[in-house]
Amino acid sequence: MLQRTGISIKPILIAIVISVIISDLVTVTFYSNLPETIITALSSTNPSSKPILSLLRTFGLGLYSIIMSFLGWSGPYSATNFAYADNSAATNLQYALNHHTAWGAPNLFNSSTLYHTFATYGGQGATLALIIAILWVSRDRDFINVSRWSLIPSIFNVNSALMSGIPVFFNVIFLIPFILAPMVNMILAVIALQLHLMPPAVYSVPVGTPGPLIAFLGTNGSWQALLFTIISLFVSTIIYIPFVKIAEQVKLQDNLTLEKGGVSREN
Amino acid sequence: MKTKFIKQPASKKGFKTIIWLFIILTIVAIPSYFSTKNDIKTLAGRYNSPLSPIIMIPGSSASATRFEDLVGTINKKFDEHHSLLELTVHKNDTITYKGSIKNNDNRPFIVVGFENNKDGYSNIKQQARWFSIAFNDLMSRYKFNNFDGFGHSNGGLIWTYYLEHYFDSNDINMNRMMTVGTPYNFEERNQSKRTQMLSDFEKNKSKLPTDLTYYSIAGTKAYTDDGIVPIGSVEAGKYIFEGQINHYTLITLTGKNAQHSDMIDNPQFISLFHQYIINDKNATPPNKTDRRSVNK
Repeated sequence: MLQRTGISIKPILIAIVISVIISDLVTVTFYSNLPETIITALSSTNPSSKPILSLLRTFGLGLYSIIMSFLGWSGPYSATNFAYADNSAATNLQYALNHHTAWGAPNLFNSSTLYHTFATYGGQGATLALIIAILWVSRDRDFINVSRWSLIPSIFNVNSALMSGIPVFFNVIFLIPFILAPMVNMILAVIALQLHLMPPAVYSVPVGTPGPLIAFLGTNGSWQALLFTIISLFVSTIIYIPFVKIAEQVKLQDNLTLEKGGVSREN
Repeated sequence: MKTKFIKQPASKKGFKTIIWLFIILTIVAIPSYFSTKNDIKTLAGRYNSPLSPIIMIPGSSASATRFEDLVGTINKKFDEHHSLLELTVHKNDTITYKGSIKNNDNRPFIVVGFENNKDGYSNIKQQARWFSIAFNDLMSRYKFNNFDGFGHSNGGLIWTYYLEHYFDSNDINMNRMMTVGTPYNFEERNQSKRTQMLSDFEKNKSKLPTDLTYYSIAGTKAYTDDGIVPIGSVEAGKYIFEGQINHYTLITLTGKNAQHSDMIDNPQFISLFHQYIINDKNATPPNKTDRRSVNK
């Protein structure tokens, strides 16, 4: 059971120890805030107020963040903190506080109205949809167990258990839905926001707010936003389902070869 | 063993978990819905942007780069990471920006310097007008609703002229001001002889913000001056501020590095600056009602 995790746990531990040593070395020097400064400069300096440019920027940085988390790293946008939201989020909040509504806020397409709200159900890559997809269609005991175990943290947008347990990290099968699901969510959100079907999420929500509730709470309880969240969560699940099936097949093949290999070694 | 599990409809277990997921989400959603409603109500009442910059004006013949060393020293000494933004207002009213404010930095330093940085009352009036242009630009760019001010030498005169002629305390709140060696009576030692500037300042003092707290620092050696500015001239600020603003404090610095231009390198000054300006508790109070909404 969970052979893949068993095999990968040793290299993961070694990598963690090495990176702890390196990051400690960086921290003891005065340049500890250098990486942060670079990321902040990239993600939040002089954001453009033109909708199309902020749209491209959110998608670009979002895509980069998703790919980076697929590789086990992190980009400027994170599922668990909102530190790199740009000034346009503050402008939106001010508008909403002034007018006592989120409808009509000036910046529809920044990181908090699109990425943090609709692309991070269950963490980077909308992995809550992966959990639902597995629980829905999968018959693989390992997949189901990992999904059940990582359900609670995933509700609060922490998907590390799932990422290394399935595994999703570096798993080419899941690369496509891992990028596609959040991106499709964001595209749907752009359309819905542009057609004024729902208000943008402008209010800040506490860190760790369950992904599917961010839009609902960030719009101060808009039912349209909640409905949209349910639809887009469903869409993401549909996106993940075929890949779950492929992964299951691949795993079955793998296990068969593993068993055969075991037999031949015994002989 | 394996084939048995594959044949078995494992989805039964899965479906149960999916149902649990939605039950948990609903259970979490209900209280957070109400607490968010409540939070946003409080927030709308407070309507506070967390940014509270420290705006600095250098003295005559100094440029916007004047405080780079000071900011560097403070960041190192107190292990803080304040960003530094330097503005230069040109003679034709245009502004050049240098540096940036890090997004998570709520206490950045913003220095406003002038292309024409000459001494003299007429120049100070000009510079106060230029400062108001820069200040309005900063406000629309960074959306802060309170700040602290610092002026070195004539920078304090620009602050005073600006506060009396351009500043609107309904729009924005000035929490604290600190100046070093600001000559309210220019080089005049005798306080009974008042320069035109001092009597103008006195005449318009009713326009100063009444809730301001102000620390004026004077340096002396041999009891008389800091090498350039006579202590009497700094002290003359009392005719403008006493009884008008909330608190007016005059601090006298003596000893090494108490000369006019060295004072901002003086460790004693740096700890005063850190204590009264950077650690200003009035700057963006986290749980206090906004004074602006009380005023309105």
